[in-house]
Amino acid sequence: MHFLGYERPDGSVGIRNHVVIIPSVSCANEMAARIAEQVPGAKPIFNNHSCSRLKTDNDLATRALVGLGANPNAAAALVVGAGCDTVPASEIADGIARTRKPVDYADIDKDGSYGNTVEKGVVIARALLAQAAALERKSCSISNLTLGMKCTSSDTTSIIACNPVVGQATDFIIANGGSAIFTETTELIGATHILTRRAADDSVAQTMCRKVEEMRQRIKRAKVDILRSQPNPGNMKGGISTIEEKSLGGIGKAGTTPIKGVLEWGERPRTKGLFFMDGSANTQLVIVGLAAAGAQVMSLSMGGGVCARLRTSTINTAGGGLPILPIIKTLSNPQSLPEADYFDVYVGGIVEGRETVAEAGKRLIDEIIAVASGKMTKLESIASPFQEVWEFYSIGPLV
Amino acid sequence: MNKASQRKAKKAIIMAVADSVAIALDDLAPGDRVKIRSLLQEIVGELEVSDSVPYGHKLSVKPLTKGSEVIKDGEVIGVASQSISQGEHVHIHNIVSLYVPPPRTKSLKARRES
Repeated sequence: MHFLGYERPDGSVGIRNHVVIIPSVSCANEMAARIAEQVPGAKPIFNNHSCSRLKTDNDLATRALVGLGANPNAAAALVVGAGCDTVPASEIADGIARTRKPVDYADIDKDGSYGNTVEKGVVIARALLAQAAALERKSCSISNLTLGMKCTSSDTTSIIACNPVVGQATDFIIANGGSAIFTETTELIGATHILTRRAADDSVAQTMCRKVEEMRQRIKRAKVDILRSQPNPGNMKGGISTIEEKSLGGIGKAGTTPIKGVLEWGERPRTKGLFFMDGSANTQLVIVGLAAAGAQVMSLSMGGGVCARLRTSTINTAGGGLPILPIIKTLSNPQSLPEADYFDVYVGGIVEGRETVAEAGKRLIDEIIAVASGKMTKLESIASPFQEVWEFYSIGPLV
Repeated sequence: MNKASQRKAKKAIIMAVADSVAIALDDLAPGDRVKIRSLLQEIVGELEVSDSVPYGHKLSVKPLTKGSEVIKDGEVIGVASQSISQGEHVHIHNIVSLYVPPPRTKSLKARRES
C-alpha cells in the first residue's frame, strides 16, 4: 500500500515538509524565536537542554537534537547556538548533514554577535524554506513509515478499546514492511512475561527485562508510593488501580508482531519492524524520543476524563505539537463523547458494543494513511498562542 | 418483589471469563443489579452490587481473600490487600501492586522470589 510523501536524500520519506530551527541549547531558544518570527513557515523546536548535565545526559541530548533535524518530516534544518554550548551547534548540524538534507548553523561564537547570528539565521532559514517549497509529494510505500505510539489519560476504556485499536494499526504498518516504536519503560512493569514471548531473540528479551528492572529499582530506591505517579490521579479516577493493570492495558498498542530490538531513548532503529524504546512515560519525553528516533507519525490513545477536555490535550501539544511529528489522537471513553470533535478517531463504540476492534482499527489505519499523505491532524489544525519548550530525557544528576 | 429487582439492570463488562473483576459501564450504587457482558456482548452473569462503583471502575465478580491475586483479562493486576466480597468496588483501597507495592508493605513478589 502507498501514501503520498516527500522523498529525502537518504532514502527516508517525510509526511511533512518542515524547515526546522533547532536551538542547540536553551540559551539559544530566544534567538530561534526571533529568526522564526522573521521567517513565517519555519518551525522552531524550543528545548530545555542546558549546561549542568553530565556527559551521559549530554549524549542523550545530542542524539535527540541530531535526531530531530534528521527526522524525515524535516526538509531542512537550521541549528542556532550560543557557542559555549556543551553540544556545539556545528556538531548538531554535522550530525543532521549525514542525512544529506540541507542544513546549516549560526552561533554567536562564529558569527560574532547576537545581531549577526539572528541576521544570518534569517538568511539561511529563508533559503532553506525556498528549497523545501520546491519539493513535491510522491507515491511512497507504507514500508517507509515509522509509527510511534503512546497512551495518555488512560482509563479502563483505553484498555478495552483504544489500545487494541492502535495495536491493529501497528500490526498493519509492520505487515506492510514498516516500523513501529513503543516506549514508556515503567509501563512494562508487570507485562514483560507477555512481551518477552514476542522478543525476536533472547538478547532482546533480556535487554527489555533489564531496562524494566532498572526502572523498577530506581522507583523502589526513591522509597515513595508509586501511586499517583503511576497510575496517576487521572488514571485512578478512570478506574486503573495498579501499575501492572496500566501496563497490561498499555501494551495493547504494540500489537502482536515480534519485537525486533530495544532502542535507547531517541535512537533510530537500524532495521524495519517493531521496537521497544527505553524511556520515561512522560508524554513530552515520549514525543521527542519518538521524533528523534525517526517516527514520522504518532498515535496518541486517550481514555477520557478531564484530560480529554484540554482539547490540545494533556500534553503540551498546543499549536500542533512538535511540528515534525503529527499526532493522531484516539478517544475511547463514551462519557467523553462531547470532546470527540477534538480527536481524530473516536472508538467508544467498541465499549458500547456498537463496533468491533477490527472495524475501528480499519478507520484508524485509513486516518494514518490520510495524515501521512498530508491531511492535517486535529492538533495541527488548532492554532495556539502557546509555544512549547520540549524536554529532553535525562538520567541525572544535574550538577 | 424486592426493591433491588425493580431497578433496571445496570451494565458491566468482563474481559475474560475467569477474571475476578468486571468493569462497570454505568455508575453503580449498592443494591443495583448488574448484567455482566463479555467483550462479544454475550451476557455471562448477573450479580448484586454492594458498593458504589463509578463508571469504568472494577467490581469483584467473586469473593477474594486477602493476599489473593486479582485477575483481569486473564492477567494478574495486583493482590487483594484485604478480603473483598462479591459485588464490591475493587480499587486502590483494597488492592495493591505486586511489582511496586507501597514502600512499607512487605513485597509479596520479593517473598515469592526468595
